[in-house]
Amino acid sequence: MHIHTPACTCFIIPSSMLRKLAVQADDAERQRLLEQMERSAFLRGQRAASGLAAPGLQVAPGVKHRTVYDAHHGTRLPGKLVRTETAAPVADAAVNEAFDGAGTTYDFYLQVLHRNSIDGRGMGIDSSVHYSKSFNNAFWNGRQMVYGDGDGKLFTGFTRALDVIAHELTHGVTQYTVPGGGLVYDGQSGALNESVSDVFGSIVKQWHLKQTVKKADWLIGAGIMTPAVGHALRSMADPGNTALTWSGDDQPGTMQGYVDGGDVHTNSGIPNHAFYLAAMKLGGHSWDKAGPIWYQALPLLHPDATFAEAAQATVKAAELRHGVGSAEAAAVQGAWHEVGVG
Amino acid sequence: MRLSLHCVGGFTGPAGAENRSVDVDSLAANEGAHVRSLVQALDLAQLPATLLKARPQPWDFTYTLTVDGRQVRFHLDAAPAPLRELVEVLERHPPG
Repeated sequence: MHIHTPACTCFIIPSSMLRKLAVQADDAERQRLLEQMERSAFLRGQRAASGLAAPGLQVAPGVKHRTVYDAHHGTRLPGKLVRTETAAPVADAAVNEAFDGAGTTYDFYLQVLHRNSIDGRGMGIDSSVHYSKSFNNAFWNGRQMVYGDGDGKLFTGFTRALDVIAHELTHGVTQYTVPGGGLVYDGQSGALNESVSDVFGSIVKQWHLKQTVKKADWLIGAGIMTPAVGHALRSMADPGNTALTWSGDDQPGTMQGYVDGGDVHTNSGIPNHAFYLAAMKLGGHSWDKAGPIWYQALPLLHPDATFAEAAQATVKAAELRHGVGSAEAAAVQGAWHEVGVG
Repeated sequence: MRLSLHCVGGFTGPAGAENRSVDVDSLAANEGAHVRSLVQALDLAQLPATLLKARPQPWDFTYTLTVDGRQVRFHLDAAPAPLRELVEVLERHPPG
């Protein structure tokens, strides 16, 4: 069902004031202010990304719109339509995996974070499989998901790994949620962009498997590499541990190993490890406390955010959710401190 | 003349980087002539070493083209037309 939303969004109370009020308020009032702040920040993010969204259209929460295309090893997108929301599974496993992974990610965002799809407005999730020849990658292109099949030597495909799907779709969430159109994909903001995707990629996998933080493997991309190459692409628990991942894993886990001018996939190990430490300190399931704190920090960031600013934003989000001086805020602060940030 | 193209980005980043290398002399006459004309139009000697977007996004893959030792690092959206066309031609060849 499509409903119209106002084209122009204005705010009477600035978000900075809402944040101050929330910190000083009691629990019930804090929750109300928090919801108002989330809504304002979300709409600001939407405004920034409005060039990429269907203008004025919103789809009711819980109504999925998934389509999967087959690029037939070409590079023209989206390719041939092979599965729609109401269609039965097809013979091609990659098509069904892309469809199911998009659905699980959608369900996580709706059920856990109360977010209506990637853009928060019920955006349809399009995926193209079999992109290019021997393509060792998967990516979000700003509008849709794209999956290669791997070359069979390094990578064996990407659709079978739920964390890969959730990682890439979360790039879309970041694009629509961080005010200003997302985190610039370079330097520390780029590493944060990668990390946010790893964080929610891992949480979605843990949520699907119903794992506690202690049971989770905290690996990113487990099962997408050939056994001869490695087990996974990255480890949030122990970044750079090649025994857990693969021989080329160069991720630092703390600022001591920060690589000046390093690739965003390298330095993302630092915020990844901060999230892992925070989740371990908070215990239980990562989607109960740690995940919502990280999610709530997104609208507090800006496109050029640094690691220090991400630390501040997550501590602030923990304070907003659990109170100033809470054990949760201290856990988040402690996690960043352990990786040498803040 | 040898052209090499390195492309990195997406989920895998450097782990899934694609490398292509083409010896222009070994190409079919038509394609070889086309590539030479594109390289000439590009005028690498006058090109900055980097042509990167100021505010890249996750879908902006980073390319490095090397032609006989000269290099340019770029995003497609920030590249001039002959460079974008060279990428298109080189990407028709399998990575290796």
